[in-house]
Amino acid sequence: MISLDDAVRSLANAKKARRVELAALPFDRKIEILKRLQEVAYELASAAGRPASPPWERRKG
Amino acid sequence: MILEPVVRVLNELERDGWIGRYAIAGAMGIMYYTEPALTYDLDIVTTLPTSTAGLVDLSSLYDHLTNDLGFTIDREHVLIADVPVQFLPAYDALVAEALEQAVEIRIGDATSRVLRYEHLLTILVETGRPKDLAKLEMALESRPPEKDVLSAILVRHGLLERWTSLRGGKAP
Repeated sequence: MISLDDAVRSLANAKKARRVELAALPFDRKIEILKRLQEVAYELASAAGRPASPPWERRKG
Repeated sequence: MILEPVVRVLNELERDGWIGRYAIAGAMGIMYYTEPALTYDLDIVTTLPTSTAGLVDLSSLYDHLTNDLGFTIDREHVLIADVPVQFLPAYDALVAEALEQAVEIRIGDATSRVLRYEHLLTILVETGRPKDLAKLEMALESRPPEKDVLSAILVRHGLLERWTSLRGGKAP
């Protein structure tokens, strides 16, 4: 068993480590993640009935 | 790689003199160095032709992009290969210096440039909107800047006090 404070601290440290890992990814990989983020944001906003910016791949230039 | 055709167009615009030296800035520039975060725009800082009165002229560039190259305008953006691109003139001494010192990067098989991280952070402080400060904190959590480089930029552009004040008294 660990205290709630220790558990929260541990989670915060893990999140920070994950951010550092993500920052070190190659730019190409970050763009792939960004495209997924755009899709997820679009789906959530659409589901909530809010106007949503379309992901790049749904736009037609 | 979705950005590769975009930077190929940017490189052609630079080569053919429609824009001057350019570099990726804004949220996409920051994302080059930090964790990915949601954004839709590709901000490009560049030097642009100016009139004799010193006004920036975007019209000939936009005419070329739409009439000659067939891209569409979406509010303040040009949609290039499905990506909304915004061209921003190097509007002050900080951005002009950032553009001059931008670093070369590879995107797919193409080359491009991105502002250096410490300039991007300084521009966030200079702009200073709540969303810029949120981006600043997020960036700093995922990647530390080169402190000496950042301090020198902040001092050179009179932003060291603002940085310290915005960051609760923390020096760079």
